Amino acid sequence: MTQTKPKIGDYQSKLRPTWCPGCGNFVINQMMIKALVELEIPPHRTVITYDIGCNGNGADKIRAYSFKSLHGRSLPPAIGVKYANHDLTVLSVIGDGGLFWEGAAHWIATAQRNEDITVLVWDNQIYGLTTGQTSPTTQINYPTKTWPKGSADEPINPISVSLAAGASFVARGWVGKPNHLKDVIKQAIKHKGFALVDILQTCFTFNNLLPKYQDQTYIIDDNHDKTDKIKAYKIAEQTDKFGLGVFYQVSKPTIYHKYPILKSKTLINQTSTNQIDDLLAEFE
Amino acid sequence: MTNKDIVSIRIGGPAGSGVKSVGKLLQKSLQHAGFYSFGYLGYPSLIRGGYNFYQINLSQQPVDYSLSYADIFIPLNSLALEQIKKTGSKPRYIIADKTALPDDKRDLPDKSQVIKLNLTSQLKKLKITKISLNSALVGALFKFLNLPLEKLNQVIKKQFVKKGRAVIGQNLKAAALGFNSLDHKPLSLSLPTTKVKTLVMTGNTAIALGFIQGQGRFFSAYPMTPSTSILHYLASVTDNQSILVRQASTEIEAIGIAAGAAYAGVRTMVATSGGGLDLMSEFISLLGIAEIPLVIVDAQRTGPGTGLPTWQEQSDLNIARCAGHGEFPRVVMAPGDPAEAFHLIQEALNLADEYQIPVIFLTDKYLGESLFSLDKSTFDHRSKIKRGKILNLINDKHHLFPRYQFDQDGISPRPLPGNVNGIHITTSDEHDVYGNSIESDPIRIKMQTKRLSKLGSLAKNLPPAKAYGNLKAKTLVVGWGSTKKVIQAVVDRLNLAGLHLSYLYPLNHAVLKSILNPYQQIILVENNSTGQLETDLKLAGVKNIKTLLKFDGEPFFADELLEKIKLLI
Repeated sequence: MTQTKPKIGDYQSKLRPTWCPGCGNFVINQMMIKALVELEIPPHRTVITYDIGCNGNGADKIRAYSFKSLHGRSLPPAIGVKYANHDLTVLSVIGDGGLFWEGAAHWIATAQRNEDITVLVWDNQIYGLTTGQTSPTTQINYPTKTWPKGSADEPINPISVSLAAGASFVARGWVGKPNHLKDVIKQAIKHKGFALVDILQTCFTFNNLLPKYQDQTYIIDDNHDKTDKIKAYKIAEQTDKFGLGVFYQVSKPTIYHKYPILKSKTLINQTSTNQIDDLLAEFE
Repeated sequence: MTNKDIVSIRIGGPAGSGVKSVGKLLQKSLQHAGFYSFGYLGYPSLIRGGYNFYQINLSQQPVDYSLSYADIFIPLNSLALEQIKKTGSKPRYIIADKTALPDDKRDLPDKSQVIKLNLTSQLKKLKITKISLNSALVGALFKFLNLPLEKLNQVIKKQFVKKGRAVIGQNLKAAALGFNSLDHKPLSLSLPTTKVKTLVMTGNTAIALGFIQGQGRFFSAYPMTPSTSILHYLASVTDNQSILVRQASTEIEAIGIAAGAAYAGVRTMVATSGGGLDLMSEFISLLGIAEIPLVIVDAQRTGPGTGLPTWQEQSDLNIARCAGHGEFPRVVMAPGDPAEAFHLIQEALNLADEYQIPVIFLTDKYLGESLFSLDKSTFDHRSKIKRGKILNLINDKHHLFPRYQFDQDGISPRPLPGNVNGIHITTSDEHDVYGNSIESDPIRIKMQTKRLSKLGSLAKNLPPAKAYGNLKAKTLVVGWGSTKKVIQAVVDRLNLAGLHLSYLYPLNHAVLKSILNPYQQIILVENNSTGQLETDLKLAGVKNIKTLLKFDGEPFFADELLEKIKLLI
């Protein structure tokens, strides 16, 4: 099939984003597009599922087969699309509240089973769209509408939990380093199996983390052994600084390894007709 | 039903003791000997211990309903006898190994004739494994019914083929031992002479086969009794069919994955029970607004809450009609027997695709797990596959394709992901024709009206129910779902008219009224405690309804329903 290489414009929506000025979402949206274009994946071969929240308001701000799901439920439809047609590129966009709380069961199960999707967490450490409640990644003692005197809860560590759940690709990006973020997204898309990128961003309206990230982020050394899980944990558990890049990447079997029919053809392109005649003998 | 043509045999014992093995071997052997049979299983929610039973009704004529009594009782331990005494049931015969009988004769039910066998010790003497007692008991029963041992032997050879020659040999020896341990045959049955090729199968298996035949491609579920055997069966055939099966981590994930697969274009089904349907309801609502086709099987059981998780009820009709917030079209249907289940599930897949809606398919413990004899020709009923307005070829270039455009019939053409000219947005938000999210806007009203207009065409186009039996009778007996066969049996016996509703939502009230109102009396039979269909009948303007309810965890038994209806007519 001859196809012209996709251009940035092919992915661009005609609608104007509704995000606040300066929101990190603009950067993520653009870096997703750039990553897809650079990987030469055209919009009609791309399915992106979304969560509810500010990220979900981006579902129609990109031109692709977008599927805006329910809160916390971005991952299951993405898995289903991949099962039906694993030739498609499937990204699942979700917020910190959506993945680490409301949809946490999906997070763990999807990582454990190495479902072949790319999960991009738009992690601003706050519930933005619902006007500023504590999220699972909100820093301790940070005052929010639900913890006016500061949150009592220690935040969850998305990287460590993903590693523990069995994710085969775990990475972190930051909107303050857009090109690096784009490269991480590209690696995540290319990874066969479950890939999670925790994308640090700021919500200028409810949780401005820009100064913190400017001071405390660094790019993980090129020599880091990505197959060393213990080292990945060590970087993930640093509290005074935040490593950016791929923490961990290994190759693991996916569901396709158990389904020979999917080796040559996607489920939707199966041409053989299901036959019950042979199955009836068992009941005679 | 004190029908002399039917012999009912009940095997009872603790879970894990072989109740199911004895029952299955017996039912298979009877089938092989040419009988029709019906197997009803009762079991508690545990793996070992408790009290399980397997009741088989056999006849030369089709028999597809349960009875409240057993002519012959086969206890596998002494607790089983206590259970049958507790229920007040008085079997004519008790056939049992010595080890399953109480030491004190006074502990036996009076009026039952007890046939005591010495199988365990003889098996031991012959060095045959203890587990072969199952075959020995069936052997004894074959002699008791004056049936040829050879028929049983043939089934043993087939049933244990995977376990190897040695196991077959042991079981054949055990069967012969049981057969020869009796010298009398008080219930001499003659072998059926008509040769109809029958299959013995549960309703759940029929649903799974219908899904395969209907070219279903993806199935996901979280295990939940009594739906789980659909998952088991489909998972067991994936080597030879183009089907992908995924056990999900929750019911929410099961339907979420299914929604994605269906959106991407493959025929998809999920199965659960009432509690799982509750969990799925948010996604059902998404399917409604996003117009994604999906078949959702709800195998009902006794509720609310965990209820009686392994027992019978038909109490999810209300939730099936209402599950999911907001207002959106759907179909609710319920088959009455495995033959109908096989046929209807294919229709469900077609309706979901043609109307781009969720279809809720109600079955229950009784239909899903009972073993019915079916004529093999049942499976010749193969529906034409109708995928609706899936759009493969789009010639024009679109920035976004108007996926939700306003077509006359309210159903918009649907391109699938991957289509170069079909890019659109699918969303749980209210949206414009391209799928872009909207706020309060006149399009909202148009979009909601478009979706709901499908309900009108469904009510008009779904096949109406047809009364059967004596159409001149004063009384019409109405039921839905798994009460179909038991009602039919009673209606036949009493020369009444009957009506089985397969399609439960949306209902065409005018048609329903015109069918029902000519009868002086309507007897509505429902296996629940509130009469969930009654509300509909009343809304339709149906008069003179008497409702018979049962909600003790058991299905209606034919003899019981006969007596109850006799009192009303």
